[in-house]
Amino acid sequence: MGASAGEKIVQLGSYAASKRDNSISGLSSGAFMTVQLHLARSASFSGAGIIAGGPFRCAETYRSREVVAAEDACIENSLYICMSPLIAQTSPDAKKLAQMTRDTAKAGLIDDIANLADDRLYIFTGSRDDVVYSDVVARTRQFYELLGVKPENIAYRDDVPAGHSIITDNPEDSVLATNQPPYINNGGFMQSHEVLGHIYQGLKPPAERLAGQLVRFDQAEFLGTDARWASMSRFGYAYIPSQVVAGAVAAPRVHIALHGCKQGYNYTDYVNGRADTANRPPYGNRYITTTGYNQIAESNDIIVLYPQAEGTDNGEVQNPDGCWDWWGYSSKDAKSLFYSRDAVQIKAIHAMLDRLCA
Amino acid sequence: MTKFPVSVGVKAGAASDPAAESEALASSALTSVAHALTTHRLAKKYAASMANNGALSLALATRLWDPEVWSESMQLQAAIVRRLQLQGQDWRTGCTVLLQDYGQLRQANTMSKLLEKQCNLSSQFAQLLGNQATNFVALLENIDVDYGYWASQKTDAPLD
Repeated sequence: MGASAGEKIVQLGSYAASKRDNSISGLSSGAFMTVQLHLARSASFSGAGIIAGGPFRCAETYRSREVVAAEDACIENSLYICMSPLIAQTSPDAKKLAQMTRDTAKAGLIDDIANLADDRLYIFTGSRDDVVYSDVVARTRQFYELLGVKPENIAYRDDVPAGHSIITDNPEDSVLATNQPPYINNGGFMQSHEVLGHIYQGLKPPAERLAGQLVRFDQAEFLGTDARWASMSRFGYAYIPSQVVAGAVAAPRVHIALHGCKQGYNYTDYVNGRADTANRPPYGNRYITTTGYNQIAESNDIIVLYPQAEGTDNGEVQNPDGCWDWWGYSSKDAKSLFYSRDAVQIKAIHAMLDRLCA
Repeated sequence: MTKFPVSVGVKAGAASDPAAESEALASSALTSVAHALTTHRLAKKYAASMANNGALSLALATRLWDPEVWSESMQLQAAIVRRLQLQGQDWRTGCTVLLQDYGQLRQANTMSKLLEKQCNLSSQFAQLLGNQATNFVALLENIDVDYGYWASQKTDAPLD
């Protein structure tokens, strides 16, 4: 099929990929989900890239009054403490959240925290970001250090005057300081290369041209009966490098790249509160094809998995912007808490990883 | 322009659905009651929140001698002023763009085009007003949550 998604929908294949040396990265809601997935399934990962994301379970930072329903408090926390705190002191409390994370691990809802010890992290906040403020991202770094990640393994960047975005060097992307969809800004470098370059040191330079396969697969088989709560699109995508396709790589590594809100392939903008289904989705596959992941994956035999979330706004699930769940909209019952190993989205994405590893 | 007020995915010429129409009419009365209940629930929530923040402020009054509390409360106020300034800036930018568009009206060649442009301007102004109102209420919620969170941290901290 070459380096673009062809006409066919394929079943996600098995490549006997590594079961430990995998990684994950994401922007915004994809970054919050990166932290959740990294912690929930830390045994499967050796690193993570967090672009404008907050700490684990930060939507549960503060609940002052019993009169406020837990669900409402989570949404208020996510908006006003985890995204736009007025000052540093009103951003998430890293110490409290680190303790909550240890308790969550003790309760068996997520993997052992000890798995994080050798992990490598890339954490980024644009100094002009007014969607997820830098104070929040600074707490993410503190949070990971409190959980035992070595400070020398964390690349923390807050020196780029970028708005809320993943940064590329594509001339057609938005001006660097922009804080608007599609949240892909031109800063003169490919941030995905920095992310993977930090996680897996000594990578070869990105390929000039793609010789592998970009495949489109049906996500439904990974959702099963949970589809109703998942807010995930019909299709997901994966880039399979040419050497992996040829079967020439033993235990290739997998990188999971998570888009942010309003960045899924079938995201449809809302006009005056109504999905603008009469027009074409404005961004389509840009996160998958233009952010540079595939080029560095091709030259280093890394499979890139692009799971896709979609907008859903009904009585049960309120997620019009197609964000990954980091405040609880997909918790269908007490056993599938949105941050746990059994969360609807975490379970589905990890099942995709399991397929690649089989 | 489409035949419908907003792009809703309805194709012009699509067959009408009498069953859906009568169902929508029948459910509208119940929906109004549900909306009133939601408004009541949210109003109650904010009243409780204000009472809670009032109680926290009283508890905090005993700590105003603490330079850290004093300094952070000043930072909170400064942050609120900054956010208000940004909203004001967005309002001025939005109005400038609309005024520039208004100046282009004279270039319309047909009456239908002129009417379309005027309607577009009216909708855009309504949207600008709506965004300003939404952002202002969001800022009030932001202040409510952040102040409560900050004050509860300060009142929970042990006295030196």
